[in-house]
Amino acid sequence: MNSSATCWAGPILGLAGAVAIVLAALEPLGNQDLVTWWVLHRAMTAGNALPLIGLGAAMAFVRWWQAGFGIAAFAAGAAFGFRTHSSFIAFMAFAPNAADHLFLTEPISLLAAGLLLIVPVSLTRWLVTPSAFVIGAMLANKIALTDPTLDGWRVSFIGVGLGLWAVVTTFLSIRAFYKAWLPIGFRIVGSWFIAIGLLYGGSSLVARPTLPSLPDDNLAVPAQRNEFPQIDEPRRRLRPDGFSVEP
Amino acid sequence: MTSDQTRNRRTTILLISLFGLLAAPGVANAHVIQAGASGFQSGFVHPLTGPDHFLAMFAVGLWGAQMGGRSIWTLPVTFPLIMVIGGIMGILGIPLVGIELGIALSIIALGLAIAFAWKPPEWVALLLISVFAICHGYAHGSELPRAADPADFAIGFVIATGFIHLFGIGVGLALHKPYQGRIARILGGLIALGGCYFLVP
Repeated sequence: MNSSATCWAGPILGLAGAVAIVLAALEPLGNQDLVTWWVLHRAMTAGNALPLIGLGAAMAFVRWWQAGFGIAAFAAGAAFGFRTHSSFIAFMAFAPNAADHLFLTEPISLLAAGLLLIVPVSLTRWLVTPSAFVIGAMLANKIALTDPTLDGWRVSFIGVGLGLWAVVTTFLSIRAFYKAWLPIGFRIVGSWFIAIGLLYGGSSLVARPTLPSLPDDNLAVPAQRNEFPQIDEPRRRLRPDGFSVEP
Repeated sequence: MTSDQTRNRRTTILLISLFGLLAAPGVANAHVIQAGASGFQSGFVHPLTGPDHFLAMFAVGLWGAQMGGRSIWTLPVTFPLIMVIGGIMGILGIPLVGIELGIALSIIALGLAIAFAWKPPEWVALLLISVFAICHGYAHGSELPRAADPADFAIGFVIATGFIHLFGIGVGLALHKPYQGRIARILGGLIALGGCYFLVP
């Protein structure tokens, strides 16, 4: 009974979360509050979910206590990320186009998750804690950057909770249905994560080509017109009796 | 229905299918973006709809499965990692000549390797794969900065590329035993012929 409960804990947890998200998505857009909108449109993205799934998968290949350390490091990283958000932004602002790409939080997370998956399992147990910390910190920074409520803690708690849900669901599900070929399969997936992270990071750093400007002859420029001519007029001086004096 | 009628019907279907294949365009579609790439869907469909990229990725998986052992996963792991180097060169606009030729040659070489069941030392296979990966990565990388959403585009096309590798591995493992792997070798020959098609301007 116990082993069966442990076996199905991951899928049940995943199903419960998925049902809650689907129910929220079925709500008409006008009835959705800001937090629900954020969860559906900002938290549920591939760039957000992939590193969390990767971290959960890597945790499934290490011992229980090491996975526990990983989850604790993820939570600590999230707290650290919220605490040092301003410093992170200031540090990353030097990277070209960083502001357009959430200060490269997604590529950094993907690289951390990819590295964790691609190394041999003997190294995974050492890297799981620092990688979980980095992924947690990047998630917190992304939450802080996309939070529409401005300084509302509800979005931060829900965002980290969703992250933990994704990590723990993946961890429990893979652990329960472990197969010998899974570490090899996830090593291939890890190489994809690294490739995505590097390509996304690289493409973000390169300036997007601007559209060529049209030749001036073809432009129909409207004649200049002063909409407020009275502004350009010299101010009329007023006499003490109220009559104006021409300048 | 007599056996002759059945045979005639099958022949007709086969001929119609062959004519349908001949009607397929001869350009390297995997590396043409008409109006700017957009998000995940565009990135995901990109390698699947370009026969040159699809054949090369499929061949990488198939060859790895045919070689067996560690090569089953080392080849598909190496390919995207080295593809990134080519991709970054493309993103930065570093000029590289003969990319389309390299892509066509990659299909021919991989197809021939499968057709002759060539099992070189692992480092030779990885070196060969790396050269081809740079060509494919460069072609994709040069398009990435133009993408409306580079993140989703990169995620889409790397995942699709990975799925094609996995499909190749699956087919390779399934065809390893029947007829002593001859079907896989015939597939390799067809892939090489497909590569010759892309050499024609």
